[in-house]
Amino acid sequence: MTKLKLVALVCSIPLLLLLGCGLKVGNLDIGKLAQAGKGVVTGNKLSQEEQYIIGRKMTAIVVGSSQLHKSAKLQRYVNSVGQWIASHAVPLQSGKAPSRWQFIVIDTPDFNAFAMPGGFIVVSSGAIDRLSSEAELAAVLAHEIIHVEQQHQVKAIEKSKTLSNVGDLAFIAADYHQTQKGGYSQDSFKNRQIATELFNVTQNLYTKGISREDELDADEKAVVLMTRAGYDPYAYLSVMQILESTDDSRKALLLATHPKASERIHTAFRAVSYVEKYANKTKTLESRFLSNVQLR
Amino acid sequence: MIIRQKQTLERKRRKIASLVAFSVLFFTSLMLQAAPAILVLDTKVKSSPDFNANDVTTLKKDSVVEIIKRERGWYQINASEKVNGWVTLLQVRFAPVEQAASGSTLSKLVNLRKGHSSVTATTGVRGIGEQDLKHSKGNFDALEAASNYYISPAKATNFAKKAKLASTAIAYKEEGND
Repeated sequence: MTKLKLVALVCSIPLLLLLGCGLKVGNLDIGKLAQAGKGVVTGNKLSQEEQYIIGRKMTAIVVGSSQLHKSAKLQRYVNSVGQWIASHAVPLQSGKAPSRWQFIVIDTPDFNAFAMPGGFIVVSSGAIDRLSSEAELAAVLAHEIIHVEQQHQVKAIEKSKTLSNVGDLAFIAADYHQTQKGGYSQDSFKNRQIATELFNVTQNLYTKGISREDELDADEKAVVLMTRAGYDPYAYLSVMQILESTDDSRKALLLATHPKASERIHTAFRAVSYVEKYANKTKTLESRFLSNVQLR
Repeated sequence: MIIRQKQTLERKRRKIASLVAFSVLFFTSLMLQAAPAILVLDTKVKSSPDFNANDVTTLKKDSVVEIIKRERGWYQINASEKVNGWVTLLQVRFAPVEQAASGSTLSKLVNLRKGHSSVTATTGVRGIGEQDLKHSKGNFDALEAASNYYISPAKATNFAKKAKLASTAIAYKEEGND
């Protein structure tokens, strides 16, 4: 047995002992904490519930860096398109899908979109401004849905060195349960410390990005996903072209977190060739898009 | 030496000419709501969006064209010599959209071009940067507000039906399955 495995085993003993015991220390439910920590200690992926809890906090940070777009019409439209596409991703019965998909438009002039664990997707109004059809919006949303489906951000978090130990994620989950019960321990030093760490992880993830391979994987699979939902896959390529022509100052964050547009177009083009035979049944839907984004 | 000067002058002249052509097309297309673009290679312009269609003409690399519309993998284009036809999607590069200062004539024109969509209220404001994420307090109220716009899968299906969007079962591409 390697030293690492031994350490993991020793560390997991108290956690396993506490499992489901409902043991409380002060305001903190250690039983829940231990349960949430189980997946991490045994090297499993975070459960869907844990992903939701962490993703929710991360989404609040991303939305908090800008502001929620005020148009209910636009928000509902983006949720309709997103939900329809998401229903063609990994099915809920598999246990690997988020229980709920939430799409959020933020009011900011730059071109960007973010995927958070647990089914949260944020898209900028600046991106929507540059698109001209529902199929193009579908392309942007499909890319983010794939990140959630394939758990690209989750993998990056699990690999992250910013969190002092992965068990902290379980601690955040436990903290959430306390919040739900109204027993939130604001003064807990540990809570504040972990909250700071989560902020750092979020900032790191959305300013440095995930791996190049996962981004290209998202491009390739997103083309398939949008075609499954009946959208014209060629719109993915036009979005890449729009992105390429967008001024650098309007995509600075996106440039820092994604491979070059030329590389992405190449990957997407191969994916479009793969689904080409289904393209004649697909739709672009310019007018529905325009009627939903014409706000003024 | 003189030859080199002549070449430089010729190059400059060409640059200016293409710049003028570009500007004319750019501003015309602003009015027409078409997008200006540049050909990335010597391109045969087709009479319809089909490889088997007749050639209208051949345009040189770097020719400035305006895109009228897209149909699958083809763009319908107008070129300076009153050429109209179809080129494949990857033969063009969209002209860069510069960031225009809010309230400037250019920004108004760019907005006019967008015409169809101008959902961003905060135009002219700097977008999200590293510092904004760093200093974000986390807005849980906004998250709660956003959850009011949630659309159920059943509603989304209805929404898709209205536009006759049809689902198709397609597996993801296997690695190396080109």
